[in-house]
Amino acid sequence: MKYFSWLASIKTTVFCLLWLTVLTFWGTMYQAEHGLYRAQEMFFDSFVFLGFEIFPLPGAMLVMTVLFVNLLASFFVHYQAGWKMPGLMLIHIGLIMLLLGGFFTKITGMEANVSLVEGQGRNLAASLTEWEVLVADELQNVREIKAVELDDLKKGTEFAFDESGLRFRVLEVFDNAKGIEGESGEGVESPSGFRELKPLPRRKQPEEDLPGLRVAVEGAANLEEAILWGNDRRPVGLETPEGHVRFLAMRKRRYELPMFIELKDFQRTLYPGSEIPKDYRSLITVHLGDEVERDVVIKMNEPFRLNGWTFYQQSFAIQDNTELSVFAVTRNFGRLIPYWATGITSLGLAMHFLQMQLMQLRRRKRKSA
Amino acid sequence: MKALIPLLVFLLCSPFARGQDPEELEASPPAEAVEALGDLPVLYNGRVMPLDTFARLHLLQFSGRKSYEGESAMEWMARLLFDPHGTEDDLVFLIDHPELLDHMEVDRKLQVEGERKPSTRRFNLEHLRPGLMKLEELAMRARERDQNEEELGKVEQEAMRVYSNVLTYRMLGQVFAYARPLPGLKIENPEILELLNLSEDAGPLTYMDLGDRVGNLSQMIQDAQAIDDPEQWTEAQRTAFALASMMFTFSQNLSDLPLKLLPAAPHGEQTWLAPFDALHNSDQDRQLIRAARNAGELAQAWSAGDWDEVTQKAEAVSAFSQGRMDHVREAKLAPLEADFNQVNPFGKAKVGYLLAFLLSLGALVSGNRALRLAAWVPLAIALVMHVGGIAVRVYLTARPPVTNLYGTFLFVGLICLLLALLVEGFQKNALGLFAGSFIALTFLFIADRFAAEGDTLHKVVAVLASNFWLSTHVIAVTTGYAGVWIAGVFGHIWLVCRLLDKPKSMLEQVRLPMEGLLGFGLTFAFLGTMLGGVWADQSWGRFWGWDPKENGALLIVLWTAAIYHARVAGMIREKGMAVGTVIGCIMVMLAWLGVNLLGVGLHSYGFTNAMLALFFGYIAFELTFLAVMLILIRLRDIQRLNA
Repeated sequence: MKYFSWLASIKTTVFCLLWLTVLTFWGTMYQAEHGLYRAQEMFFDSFVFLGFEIFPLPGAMLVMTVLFVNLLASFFVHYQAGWKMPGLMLIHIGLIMLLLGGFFTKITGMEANVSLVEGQGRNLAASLTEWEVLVADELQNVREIKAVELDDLKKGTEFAFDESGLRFRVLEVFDNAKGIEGESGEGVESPSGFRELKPLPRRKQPEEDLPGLRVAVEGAANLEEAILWGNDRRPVGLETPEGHVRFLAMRKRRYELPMFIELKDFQRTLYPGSEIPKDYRSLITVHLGDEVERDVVIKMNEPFRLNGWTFYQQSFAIQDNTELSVFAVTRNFGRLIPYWATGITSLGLAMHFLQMQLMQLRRRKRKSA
Repeated sequence: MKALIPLLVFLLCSPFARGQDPEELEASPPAEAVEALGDLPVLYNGRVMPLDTFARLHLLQFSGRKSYEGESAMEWMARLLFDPHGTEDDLVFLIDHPELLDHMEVDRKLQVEGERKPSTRRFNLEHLRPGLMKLEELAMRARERDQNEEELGKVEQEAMRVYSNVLTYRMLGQVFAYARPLPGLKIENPEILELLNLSEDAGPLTYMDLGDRVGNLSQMIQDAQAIDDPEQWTEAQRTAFALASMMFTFSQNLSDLPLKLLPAAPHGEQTWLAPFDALHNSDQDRQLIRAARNAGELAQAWSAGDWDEVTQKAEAVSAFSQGRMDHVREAKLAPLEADFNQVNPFGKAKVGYLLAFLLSLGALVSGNRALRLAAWVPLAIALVMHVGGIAVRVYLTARPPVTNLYGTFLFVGLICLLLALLVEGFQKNALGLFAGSFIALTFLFIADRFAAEGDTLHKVVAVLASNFWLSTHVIAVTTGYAGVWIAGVFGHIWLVCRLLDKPKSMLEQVRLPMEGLLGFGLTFAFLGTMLGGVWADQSWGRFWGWDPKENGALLIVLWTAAIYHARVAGMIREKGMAVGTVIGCIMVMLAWLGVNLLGVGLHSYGFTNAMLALFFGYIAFELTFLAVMLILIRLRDIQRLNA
């Protein structure tokens, strides 16, 4: 019960809020030098982090977990009195929902993007930061691809894709790497002509990282080791004992979309006589199955949503008179939870502070009477 | 930077720019003529604005000032447009880094006649002229480095800015060169005069006079070109060839100048042309050519001091533009915007707030009821100006009141004032009047600093162009700023009252609004922050991304929530609450400006550095205030205990 009281204690709330304030300030300042991703990783997505690279300190995830438990516990301890403070109850219900919604999004959410030139279509979205290692049984007109996420690979990890007899063991893996060019030795193949990989510090923008992977290959007739790099232009060819050919490569992780989207037209409008963007929009055709298709306009602040997937107009590029439209694609089944939480908490805050003011006024009137 | 045309071209062209000597000009233009000129709609920076605003923006950009030695920006711009030579002694080029002058091999000081002190920050073209070639070299090198994404030094940035300003100044001076006499041009050959339909006693000739007649010489020029040896050309052929060459060079140098005064296509897409381009490239568009001629005659009338003609011609050009752009709302609103500039409601509001502040301070100190009631008079007038000013901005832009930092200070100042007046309505003790007028005045002064950034009615970029989110998220979060800020002001007052040993009842009168307004601020800051998340989710698919602006708003919410909980838990009392609200003001400033300043280098560096100094100066002031207050209050408490 003693521990439960501590968990429900309002002092715990104060410490959590103050520490979150510190983390938010610190993390924001940190961003200026190290970029958003690094700051997010270190301060906001962590349970514990090393402050000044020395002191282990609680990260925002830990603090928010404690705050969540604190909110729940205080709900049972403090609000048993009933509905005298309905605003306060609503505030805390809303905040619990908000924290739960954030957690749910973190677990189930997905962010990727699709780039299309006019006339082109795709049913795959590529992650910005996640990578995968894949084996394909055909280079062009791929029939079958099997992939493993790079994040799951550590030094010594062994993996295999199918019954082809090919097995792989990770010798080295780096989040960001550069290759040293040169003769790679007998039985070693690197599409970029590297003899070894050197780790590099992570970049400010994580999407600019180029990971490197060195794997030992068992069961291939033509080589024993492969060096893969994020900027390889071609895959490594592997001969199976049965004499078939497989292709090993590393690429940004792909997500299969439940539809095929085709870019019909991209339009960019500027304010007259200026370079100030007024509007970006893409006209796409969405193919759902063989016979169902519809035209949709996606523009700034007006995304296209379907079955939990959302497509946003993210950016564009013009290369050689060809317009390339880039869409951010997200899948988040819990996206409406923060909406509800915001409404409930705000209503609670308004009710609570109005109630407080009315109570104060009544008290003053009583005093003056 | 649009420095694409070498400065040299303009230096070489400078004889064309020379108009009448200022001494030849008649008396100062009457208000009607300046007003008619200021109402002219022009397209600049993506929107149609009155020439008056165009003038203000350019003078501000060149000199950092809104007027020039008592002359309005419009009057100064008229001199630049119609008599550029007469502005070459004007101290309008602001140079923040004197090292640039060393690079240009120009003296760092300029002694001006009749002034005791030499000018060290603002210079005239005459002073800079010997260093212009050096400036151009430096600016071009800096631009190249900038394009290669190399980091630029302060002097390099300054060189790019000053060069751009000099170039724009020179180009503006050329806009009406086509209506000024071509220097050194005197046609005496009777054959040419006849072909051009000119009499022998024709006065000084302009491009506008000759532009459509010079075609009459084409046959004569063709005949001359058929003769291999130019020595054998007749006098008339030589004159015709020289005249045509001169006109060609002139038209080459004067195309695509910056003042887009005349809409080219009626009712169609907005393509606006500078008057010379309209005259030169309009093919069969007779209305457009007539308008370009009217604009030229307007320039001539100004130079001649014929103010009635100026008014008439300006009205004719305005009517043409508005007729052509009758589907463009801004074109119709140009005169309103010019009037809005002239009325300067926020400047007048500042005077009202200052008076109200002084009267309410007097009322607070003396307890005089008459002073308190008197404070309402200037305050009410200022409030009307303030609200009216914001309403006109909303009407002009067809956007909610807050679309840029300048707008936030106008709006937050107003909300703070209204909240303070609410407190005054309950307490009737001059405290609300004092706090409200002080904040409104301060925020209007700060807004002035942001007005120096450029056009405050500018177009919003595509991602922000959503009136729904601008009127929900932005309004809510800035209302939250206002609530927390005004609570902080009451926090300051509480600490001062506590130090001065004011009676408990007085402290209560300060504490109650302080806590209530903090709750108001927390509610709106939370709502605004979360609505920002909803907007982000709608725009790019993620509710929360920990970016600096989101974090800034979150800081306010976390801090105010923390001090509320600390108060409820008994961890702090009234004094702690007051200190917390003062720190709340710092949090608001961090969210409001601090996160923008993290990206130093994105904005005009001179401006940003000045704002940076102001920002850190403010934080230093608040921390010093708190430290001094807490120490003095503590000493006083000890003294009282000992007594």
